Amino acid sequence: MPGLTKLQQQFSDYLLSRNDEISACIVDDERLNKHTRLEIYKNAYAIRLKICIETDHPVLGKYLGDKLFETMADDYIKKHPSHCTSLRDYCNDLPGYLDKTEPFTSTPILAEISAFERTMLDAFDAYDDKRATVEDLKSIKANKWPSIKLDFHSSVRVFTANWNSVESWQALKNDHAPPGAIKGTQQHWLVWRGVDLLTQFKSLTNESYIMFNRFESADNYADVCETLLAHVPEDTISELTLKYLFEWLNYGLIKNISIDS
Amino acid sequence: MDNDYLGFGLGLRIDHFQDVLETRPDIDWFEILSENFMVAGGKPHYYLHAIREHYPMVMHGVSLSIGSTDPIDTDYLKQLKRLADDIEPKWFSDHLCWTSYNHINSHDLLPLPYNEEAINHVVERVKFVQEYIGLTFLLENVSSYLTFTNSEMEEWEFINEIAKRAGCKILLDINNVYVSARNHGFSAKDYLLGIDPEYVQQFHLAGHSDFGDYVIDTHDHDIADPVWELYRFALKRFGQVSTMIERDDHIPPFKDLYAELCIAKKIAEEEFKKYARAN
Ligand SMILES: [Fe+2]
Repeated sequence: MPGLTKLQQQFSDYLLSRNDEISACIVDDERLNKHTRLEIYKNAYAIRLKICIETDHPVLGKYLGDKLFETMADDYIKKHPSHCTSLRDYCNDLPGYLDKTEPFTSTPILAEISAFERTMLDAFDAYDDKRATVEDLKSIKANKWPSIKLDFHSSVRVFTANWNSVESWQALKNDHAPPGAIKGTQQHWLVWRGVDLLTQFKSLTNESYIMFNRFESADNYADVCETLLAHVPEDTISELTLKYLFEWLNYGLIKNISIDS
Repeated sequence: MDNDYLGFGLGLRIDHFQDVLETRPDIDWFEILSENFMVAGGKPHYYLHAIREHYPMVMHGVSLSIGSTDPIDTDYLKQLKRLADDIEPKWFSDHLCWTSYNHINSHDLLPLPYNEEAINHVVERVKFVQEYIGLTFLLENVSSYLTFTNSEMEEWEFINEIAKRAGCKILLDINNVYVSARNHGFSAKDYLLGIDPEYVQQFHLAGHSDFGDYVIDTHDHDIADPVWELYRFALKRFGQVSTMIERDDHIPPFKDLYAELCIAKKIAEEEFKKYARAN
């Protein structure tokens, strides 16, 4: 008779369909034979993981349709035994899986849709930071403005799409047919958890993306304006940056405004 | 009243956050699923803290894997401790089972063989965990669907022995007793009679799915009549024990769960009245 470690190894092997050595250690009785008993656990294992994929990736599921989703889920479960404590992390490898596995790899928008769904989930669970307000910004004296630096709320993420994945996600979310998959120019999206605790997203213009990136890399306001000079006319910069700063503050994207010393 | 008696509670579920906060139902306490709140922040945290201000809570987990031969997951334990320090529950609980082998997680409550080796293994780990968290730990009996050939005792003997040696308490899930009794063909009443009342600190009530040949612990139905009957029996044996209803799937509106909890309360009142009359 195996000890506890061996018993658990054999049981785990059975759940993963590796072998059925464990069946020698299960009591067989006429009420229910040991294989049926073991299958209860094996089915529960697969169902639980499948529900997790469905719950985390409802829009991907709609895009694939029931049949292809089943095939994908079964294969992902087979290739990805869970190594995570929480099911919350089980689908972290799904975008990578879709990117590399036939037949999904030939439809690259699938990996992008799943990555977008994961970005949204991440933002939903992120740390609760305080949020700076428009008043905080207004209280800064004019001579300090060039030294303004921003810390963004922990939930803020940038999602970069090469395909029309976010537009497809939106269509499916609203129960509309998605547009055909198109690889267009790269589009950046801001994703964050709003003040109402719900996940939000918004497309970034080229200038706002540059501005966000520079602030995120700890540049101060003067440096950010300097960088923008290469992209927009000089006389529009202050109006443009103010517009975005106020917008970000209103969305709750900024945790803290500091003065670079 | 006994400090360990909380009265009648419900499992706090995400679907009911808003309802609970707005209507402040007349409920004695809530049991939270620890894992639901092991995230950095966001909506669950907001509601947890807001609701905690009005109700006592206990923490219930599914990922401790107390019976696993993998080392204890210290990251998980740290998160559990952080949560416990944060919400100050009356106690915390998890299941007498194992969930992972070689770090592959089944995310299920897998059965243990009922033997001396498993007792020794679990006892050491319970002592460590209880000491680490600094609160009373309750071990819950799980529903099981098979028996190992190297089990040397009844499940109730196994759980008593662990509670006794580890110095922890028992969370007696009445539905799980019923489910396992049906699946293994033992008497659910024998099980309850076998459990030492000294260790029982909480009851779980829940629904199951009956497939005829076997019963699965699904927590997606109302509590079944035979489980209510067993609950009556448990009240006679164990007296007043903190009781709550678990519902994890097909979650009905809050008022329906509240109504179900009122049934539990009513049954307890009837039983204790009978007891008082008899004495
Ligand atoms: Fe339970």
